[in-house]
Amino acid sequence: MVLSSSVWRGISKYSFCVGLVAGGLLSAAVLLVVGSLVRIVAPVPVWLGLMAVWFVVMALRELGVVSFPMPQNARLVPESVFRHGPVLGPFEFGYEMGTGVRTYVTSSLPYLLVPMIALFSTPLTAVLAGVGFGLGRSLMTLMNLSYDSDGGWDFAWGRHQRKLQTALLLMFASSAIWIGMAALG
Amino acid sequence: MTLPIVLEQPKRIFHPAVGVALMAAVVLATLVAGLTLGPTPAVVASAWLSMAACAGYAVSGST
Repeated sequence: MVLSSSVWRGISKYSFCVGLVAGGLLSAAVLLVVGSLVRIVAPVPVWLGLMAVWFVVMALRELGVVSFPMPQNARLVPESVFRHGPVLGPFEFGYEMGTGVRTYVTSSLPYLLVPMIALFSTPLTAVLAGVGFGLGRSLMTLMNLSYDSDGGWDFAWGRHQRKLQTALLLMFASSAIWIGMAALG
Repeated sequence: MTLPIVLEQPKRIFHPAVGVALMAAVVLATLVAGLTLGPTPAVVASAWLSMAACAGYAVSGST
């Protein structure tokens, strides 16, 4: 785990978090542009129906009922990302991580967020989604670093992973319903 | 001579479940506002923010 590295001192973690948000914004912008071309193929109700089916599939995967691989960049981030110093190094690291395509994706929720942004976002809500994704990752980072310096947070996460991911899945669904209702007008 | 080993006590306030609880508070507020007001722009904006935050937090094991 890179978070257990001793380089996380002072401003570095905040620089990393700013990078996370910036990376999330980049991915959201790309998804908005690509999605604006895809979404004209079918009307909103059709996309919502497909999204509901996709949600069930990903929910079953998240809960461990079914198991199949999804595309991911299956590599760990090397500590050499810090070569640009205590501010720009973590920023670059966070930026790459924030895009969501730099390393492993350990949850199915990003695979639900991607089509949600692509199919239903506006420029403003795409920004909100990018910022939200970065803030979610930032919250994890800051809590991880504040918990202890011995990887205890990761251990605690692993011990309660199923319950925590189930809660996050339910919260994701609760929020997605309002977005779906707004999309229907 | 035996050197004492001092183990750092984890700060429980930063437990992973507390982060989930924080986001649950936002999601719950969005839910209540949505049920009261309907899918207004503010409710939808909050929904986007909290939904994406859930996805970001859920990939916690990958850093």
